[in-house]
Amino acid sequence: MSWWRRLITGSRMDQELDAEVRFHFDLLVAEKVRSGVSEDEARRRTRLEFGGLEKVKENCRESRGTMWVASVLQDIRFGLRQFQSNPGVTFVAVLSLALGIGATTVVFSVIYAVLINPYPYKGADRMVHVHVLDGTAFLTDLLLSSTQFQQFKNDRVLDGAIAVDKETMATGGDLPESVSAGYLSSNAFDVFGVPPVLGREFSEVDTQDALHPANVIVLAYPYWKAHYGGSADVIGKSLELDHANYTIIGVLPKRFAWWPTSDVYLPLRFSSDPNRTAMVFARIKPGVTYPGAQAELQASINELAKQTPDRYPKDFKIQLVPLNDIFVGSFAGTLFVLLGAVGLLLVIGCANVSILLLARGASRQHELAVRAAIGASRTRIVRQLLTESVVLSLAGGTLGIALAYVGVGMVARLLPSHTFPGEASFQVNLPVLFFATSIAILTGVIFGLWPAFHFSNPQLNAVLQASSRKLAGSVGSMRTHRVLIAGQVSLILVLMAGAGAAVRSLYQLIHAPLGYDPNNVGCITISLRDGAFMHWENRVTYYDQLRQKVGSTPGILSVAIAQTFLPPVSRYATSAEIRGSIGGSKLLTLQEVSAEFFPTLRIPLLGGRLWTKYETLHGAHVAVINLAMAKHYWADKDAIGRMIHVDALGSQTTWALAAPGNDGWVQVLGVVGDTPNNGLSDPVSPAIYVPYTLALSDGVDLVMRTRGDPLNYIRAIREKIHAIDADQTTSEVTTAEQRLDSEALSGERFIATVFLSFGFLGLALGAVGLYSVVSYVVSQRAHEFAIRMALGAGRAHVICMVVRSFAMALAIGGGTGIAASLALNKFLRQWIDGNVRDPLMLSAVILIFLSVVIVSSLIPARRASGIDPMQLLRTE
Amino acid sequence: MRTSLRSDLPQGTLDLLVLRIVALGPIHGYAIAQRIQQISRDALQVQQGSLYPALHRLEYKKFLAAEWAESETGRDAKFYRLTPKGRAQLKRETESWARLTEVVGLILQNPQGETP
Repeated sequence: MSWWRRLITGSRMDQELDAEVRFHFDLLVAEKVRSGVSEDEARRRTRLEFGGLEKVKENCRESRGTMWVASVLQDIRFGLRQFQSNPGVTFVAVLSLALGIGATTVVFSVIYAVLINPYPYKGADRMVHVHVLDGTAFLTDLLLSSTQFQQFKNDRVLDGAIAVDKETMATGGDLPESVSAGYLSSNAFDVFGVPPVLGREFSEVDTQDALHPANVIVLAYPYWKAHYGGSADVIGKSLELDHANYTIIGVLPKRFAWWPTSDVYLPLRFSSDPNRTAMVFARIKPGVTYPGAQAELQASINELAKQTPDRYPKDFKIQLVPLNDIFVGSFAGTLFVLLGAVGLLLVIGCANVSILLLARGASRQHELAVRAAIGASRTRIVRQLLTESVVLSLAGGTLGIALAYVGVGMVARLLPSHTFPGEASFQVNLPVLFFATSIAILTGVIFGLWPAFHFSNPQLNAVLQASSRKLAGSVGSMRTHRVLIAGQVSLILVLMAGAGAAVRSLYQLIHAPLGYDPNNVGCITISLRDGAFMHWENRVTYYDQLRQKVGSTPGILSVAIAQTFLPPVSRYATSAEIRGSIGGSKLLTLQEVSAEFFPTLRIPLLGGRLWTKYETLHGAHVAVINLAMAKHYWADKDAIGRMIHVDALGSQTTWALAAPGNDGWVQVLGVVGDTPNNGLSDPVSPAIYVPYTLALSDGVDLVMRTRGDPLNYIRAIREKIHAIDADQTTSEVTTAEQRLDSEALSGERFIATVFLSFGFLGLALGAVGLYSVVSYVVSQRAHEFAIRMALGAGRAHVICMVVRSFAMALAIGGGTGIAASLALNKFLRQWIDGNVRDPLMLSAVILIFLSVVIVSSLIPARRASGIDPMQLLRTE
Repeated sequence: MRTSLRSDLPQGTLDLLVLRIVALGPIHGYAIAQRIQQISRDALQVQQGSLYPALHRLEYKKFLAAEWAESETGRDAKFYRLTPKGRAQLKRETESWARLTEVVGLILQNPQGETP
């Protein structure tokens, strides 16, 4: 006997009670023996007088007021013994509950973290990005100069606005490290309302002089952890950046990750130069609608635009985009589909528990009848069943809660980072955990009590007089079983079809033709210091010097310069005008690269020619277009020689230098193959490649093809770059394959993984459920089968009978499930790439499903045919 | 005459009798039953089925305390004794019993109450 069992029996009290009563009993016997009765007779009489030792003891326990506890403990002990004698059923029931609870909570917690409450900022649901749209739906962020911003932020529909900018800075010391710096207008922390974890944030006090704000700096949480070990005495220390010293005044909390997500935040140096602009975010006042605010801001920005008309497109429209729309976008739908899937899993789990408990309850009719016959009251029986169900449900619930906590951490790691804002904090959502746990426990309790409900109309005699404990299941309970099984089967098929579609779509993406070779291609970002190389020629020379120097590294096969992202995504879309074409401006994907970009990525030239290195260095007004563009605008006619005006080129800004004589017009020299520029699942957009020198940015990427893994070259590359400029900072090397994975595949992989695991969990639960029900039916009808076999029925016939009793339920459930999947296809396709109606996938799903069903029902059915009729009938 | 008065004993009377017997000194269950029987001259025979629940109830209410000690037969038995709380309870119960019997007696002896 283990220690805890002794603890819950309270056996010491029982032993004492026993000794006390027995003492009395023995004295009475002795008394009778003294008066001349035989010992046996004395015992008999005493026992009659006493009226049952157990009864007396029971009354004593009751009079102590511990009866309730004792009987509950007794029931728990009995329940545990029941579970021990039937470990399979117990295990499956507990696991079904746990999986349902765990999975539902995890998915909802993720949805809560990503969609419902992702931001720590005050009034985050009213915070907006301010976009400027031109006629072609080409959008830019609103940029304002200092004076414009002062006007804008006091607009009467706004509850605060902030201006931001970003830069990469270098630390001091022998090996300068690059630090991403976010510049925030001095009112920013007032607007955010997120208190620091340490020290203070900067405010208007630090920026009395807008041009030369105090040299104060606030650290982001991850930077503080990584570089200062999270030490509290960091406040007041100084940090050297770009040869200037800044005093650290505070550390931001973990969840602060405002765009631009940076290592450090500094007050924005906002000079009154009208060309010095910064990006603007706003928070609208409570109670103001988006359209209302949009109309109001349109009017006030129209006013501002009159001061600098060249910075705004003609007839521009202001569009307010809520914070979360930027990050999550279409992923929201996917998450809700997942919530639906996980809801199915919870229902399947609960159905499983009901099936198992119903089966067990039916087989206990006899036991309950015996209990009732020897005097157990109905409430006592209900209490016993209730205790057992609660114990079972609590076990499932506890495990479920544990799963939820483990699962949330796992999903947070698995979730592709571009699908959620950095502020999101993944935590188990307690209300939902509570909800799912309650549902699961309620299911367990209701179905655990079922035998008791059924018992309200006890035909005690019928139950007891049946010669066998194996009753043929009542028609009613079989009908419940069949309905539950059919429902469960259909839900499982829906889940599996969803999983199949997600997997197939991932497979197709992985095997999609890319149009370029991402193998052994790496990319490193070079950012200029603020105000460095402000002349076009100098900048061109500097960049090309870096390119050549890096290209001289042994093992680096070719190097190109790009002001765009590597496929499968692009950085810009721009409006453009095609000479001689009607219909006004067009939307094009703009790719600013050097001529080496095409051979480096192995993008094939399909017609015409590429521009030369000479043309790159002189900012020639030339372009190459992709096949999609050639097909879209010129069909089979020749695109080469056409003139295109690219609106995004040709206007000088503080960060991009236009080439001399650049008026935005370029001539098409050639056509290259398509590479994905909207991710892998969307069609390739028309794209135009121009020399990056036409609008020279303050940061470029060096794209290189290497021998072997590009990550091995980071040291060599940095040495080469520092040989030219010791202060030049560089990013880490990322590879084209990583890009491909994080930008395009990780979302699909996430969905496929989650759906697949849900599908298999559902299938496994269903299989075990079916197995236990068939086993139960076999054991209930063993007597009948024995008679049939004794009378000459064959084994196959018996197996057939067992299978037939469920075939209908399975067929109906299967049919409904497939029909439901097909019907849901349209709905699902909005959020999940992939097609439920894919016949190959659907037949694979049905095949897997059928084989699992056959195996899980045939194993117990075979047992029926293994019955030895003579032996069984003799024991009865 | 050996009459079992178990069902005739008013509710709570057994508790009072047990407290009264235990007040005489530490005593075990068997002896309590014997003593009640003796004192009542066999008029009351306490059922074990009522005695032990009563003892446990009184112990639970802390009117009685119990400890195991060697009995006259040499076997260990559970001896009950009165606690201060039990003594107070005994006093209260005895008074209220006396009052009750007095009042009941008054009513029964009143000729006006006699039914014709």
